[in-house]
Amino acid sequence: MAALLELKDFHYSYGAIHVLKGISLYVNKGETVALIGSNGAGKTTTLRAISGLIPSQGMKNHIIYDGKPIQGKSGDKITAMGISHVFEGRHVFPKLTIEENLFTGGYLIKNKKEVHETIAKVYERFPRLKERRTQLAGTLSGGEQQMLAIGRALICKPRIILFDEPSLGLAPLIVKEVFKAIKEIKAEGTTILLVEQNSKLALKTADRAYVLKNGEIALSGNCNDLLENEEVQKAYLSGK
Amino acid sequence: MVIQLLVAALLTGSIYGLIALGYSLIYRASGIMNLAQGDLMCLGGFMGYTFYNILGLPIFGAMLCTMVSMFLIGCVLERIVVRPIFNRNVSSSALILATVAVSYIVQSLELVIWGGAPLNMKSFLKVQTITFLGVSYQTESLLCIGVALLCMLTLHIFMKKSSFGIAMRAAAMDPIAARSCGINVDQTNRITWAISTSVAGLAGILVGPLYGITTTLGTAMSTKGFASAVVGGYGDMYGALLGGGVLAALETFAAGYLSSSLKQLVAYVAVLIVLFIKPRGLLNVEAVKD
Repeated sequence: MAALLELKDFHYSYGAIHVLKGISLYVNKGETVALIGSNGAGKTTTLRAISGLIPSQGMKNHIIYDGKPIQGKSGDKITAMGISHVFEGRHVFPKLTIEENLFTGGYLIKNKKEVHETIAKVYERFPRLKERRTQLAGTLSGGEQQMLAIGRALICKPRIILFDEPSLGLAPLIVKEVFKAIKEIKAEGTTILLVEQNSKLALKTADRAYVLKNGEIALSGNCNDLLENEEVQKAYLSGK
Repeated sequence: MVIQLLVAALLTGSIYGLIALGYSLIYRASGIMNLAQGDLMCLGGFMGYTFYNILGLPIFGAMLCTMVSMFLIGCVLERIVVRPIFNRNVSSSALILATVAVSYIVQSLELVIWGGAPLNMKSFLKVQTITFLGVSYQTESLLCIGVALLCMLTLHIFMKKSSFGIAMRAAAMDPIAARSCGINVDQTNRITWAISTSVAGLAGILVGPLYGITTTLGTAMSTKGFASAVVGGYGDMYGALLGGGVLAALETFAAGYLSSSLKQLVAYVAVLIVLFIKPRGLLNVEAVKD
């Protein structure tokens, strides 16, 4: 099976700082793949490079999506191709209402009736958002903002969603709820690339995983194998 | 007298408000002050004069043509001046200086094309005054207030209800998240500059019957617009309009009840008081970009 998304020996530098040093990874259609590793390993940079949200000058080699190279395209074009991004820190639009935030997620869809139908589905998934639809997003709690960010990413009916640290800064109960939603999205057949500092949670959610260390892939494999792996246990799973 | 002063204040206030609107929209989108705002307003005045007095278009036609021309000028300005400097990721002072340069260039071009003498617009309406409940009003003032309010209302509906308007607000709040929603942020920024320029141009026509049109008017109006925007809450569309109204009311009533030589003094002491009490402006807008 051809991969939906593939990085081939991909490098990224912020000026003189070499952040990604030749990353190769792939995500098959329908698969959920986790990218774990400590802070500063390059996880967020990887996702942002895929989404076209960091300057293309620092990129070297290819990011292949659906058989075509996409590295260096602008973020709005990449979203238009079916790649959605749920940001670390959520990045909801604070002074737009919940409904406006979701509506903005469907910016590229010409048929606004379809957008409203998809918004209704998001409300079914997250009833709390529906109750607060006219409230400004900036007034929501962290967990509600995360649900809104996920909802917003779903509106344009993406083929693949990139999740960046969805559990960050959330209370355990809320994390549970967020990951329940991620598993549902996975079950519906959407392809997922998940970056998560809570490695155990990531490995329990995904099918396969890559371990990123200092800008390089240190390990990769099936999540079940990685959960058993001594090195992984020692470095990433202890205390969690 | 109160009612006449109120009408005068509304007229001046809507002009200040329209200029302030441009300041706030551009600040939200590009994070800078566009100090060319006042001179772009003048350019609108000169264009309005050309369409109305010289080419003989009806007044609403002249307004529309001016707004469309100014919209295009705003697009060009963003494309050839703002964007290239913005893309270099330099400090915002470079970009602000660029707008100063634009303001002088616009002023000089006006001088070359229309000359230095003040131009007077033909009156907009045949009937000069109407009397209602024993008070007589200048019809021109009422027309100008009406047009300004209509423009503000249209903009409000556009920003709140249209997909592109919501996208413009989203892009101004968080460009990266906006891009990931599929919004072309360069495009929304360009339209922001275009709308701001267009609205300033409309203010330029409305100012015609009030002050006449001169190249030097821009600098003064630029300050008024900026003050209005900050007093209302810098970066907030509605704050800009409110600030324009408040500043104009202070000036007008000070001139009416005290003396016209005191109007600036009263108005700007009040501005300082607002800054002391509510440094974020009347609508309490956060000064930082969110």
